[in-house]
Amino acid sequence: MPISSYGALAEEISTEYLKKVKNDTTVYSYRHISEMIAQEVAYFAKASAFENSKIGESTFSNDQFIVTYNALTILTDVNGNLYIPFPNAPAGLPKGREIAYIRFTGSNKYQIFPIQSKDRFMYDFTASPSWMVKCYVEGGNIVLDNVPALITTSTATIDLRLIGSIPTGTNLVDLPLFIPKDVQSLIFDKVLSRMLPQRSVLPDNVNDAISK
Amino acid sequence: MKLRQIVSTFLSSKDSSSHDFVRVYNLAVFGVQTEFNLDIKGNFKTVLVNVNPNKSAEFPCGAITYNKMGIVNRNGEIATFKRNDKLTNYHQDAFANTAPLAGVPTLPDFTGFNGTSDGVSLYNAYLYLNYNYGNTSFNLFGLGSGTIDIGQYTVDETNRIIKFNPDFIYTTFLFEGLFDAPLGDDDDYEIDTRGAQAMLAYIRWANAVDMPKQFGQSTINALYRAYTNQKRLARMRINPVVLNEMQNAERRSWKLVAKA
Repeated sequence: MPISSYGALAEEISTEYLKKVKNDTTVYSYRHISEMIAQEVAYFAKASAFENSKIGESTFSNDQFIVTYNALTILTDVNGNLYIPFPNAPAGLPKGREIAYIRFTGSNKYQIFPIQSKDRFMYDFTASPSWMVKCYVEGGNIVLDNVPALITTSTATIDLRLIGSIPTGTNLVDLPLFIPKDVQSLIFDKVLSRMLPQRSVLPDNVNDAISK
Repeated sequence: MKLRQIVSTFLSSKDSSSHDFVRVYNLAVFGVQTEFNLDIKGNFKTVLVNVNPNKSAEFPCGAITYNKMGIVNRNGEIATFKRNDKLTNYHQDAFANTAPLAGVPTLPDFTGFNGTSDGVSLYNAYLYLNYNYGNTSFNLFGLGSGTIDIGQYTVDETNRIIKFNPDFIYTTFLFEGLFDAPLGDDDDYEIDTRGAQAMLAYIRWANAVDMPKQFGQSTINALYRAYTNQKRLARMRINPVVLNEMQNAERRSWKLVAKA
């Protein structure tokens, strides 16, 4: 288990929870807590974007919220469009800014530019240079548009940087968590506060060694 | 300098990202095709155009407007045709018609003082000013100086058709004019470095003008003033004063004249 991982933070939260709720027989698995952590990571990625937007014009999260995916396989849908499925759900940032960066692996000759679905009809009326590949999010996929003939499912893969997502892996508990340390504290408090009301623990006034 | 480089510079300057690129690039392309091509540095080209059997020609593909039409002399200088808006547009679009004026009542040929046509019947003699007469030319006091008359044209810009006089003898001619802004070899517009600042200022203004929530009217006005000033500077940079050329022009203009 990495030093900073979903499981490590879940373990800390679980320990703290059990200190506050004595003799609790409820079992919060690390996996369950890790899922809550992942949700809060996305929430704080969004909060980071809003903090940045107060500073200036940007709506971008802190880079520490970025999760890296390399060499993703390109697929083809029934209409012949090239796309990649979202490897994991990211945070929902204004104007689709959860895609921090997307490119063809090892090449910058053709650049991929995120657009929003609402703008697609406009771009159908404006000429796009061959190097300008566009992408938009649709049905859990990132669909590529204006793709040169050289780019096919067998000739190219995609590198992707998503905000507020979780890395690829078989077990969430074991996945690394590299969010900022101060945000870890906030997530710790927030997840714990989500867990505690479940028990609605009342003050234990009777000294009978049985928690209420 | 590539247009995408200027757009990327702008996005970097405003702390934006690839999400804004397509929108801003489209604004920039529109600026290149209109403001820059028309006002700052035009894409002038000269092409050889075919004349149709009905003595008309179509504007070349991509031509916006023209500034010279003609043929060349032995020095490679262009000898231009003369604009004559009295030429009729009748049957101008019947390109294959070799007698487009057939059936139209025609004025009789001019008869000279001695009862002959004296070789001037080919042109509209009723409008002819007699300083090119009998295959020689001379000046007549009080008349404007003549120009060579190797062909006449009128232009229907709406339908992008050039119409020549019925006796026009050339089957091709040179068309020099302003064409659409050209894409470079790598599918991007090339911006003259001398106008790059103006392009950047244009993008700044165009990016702001339709976003009233983000930019106040005074900011938009300031950006527009910055752009117009950069446009002025770009035109000065692109059309510099070359002292040697000015001296040459000034010396060539020396002439002896009669003064009262």
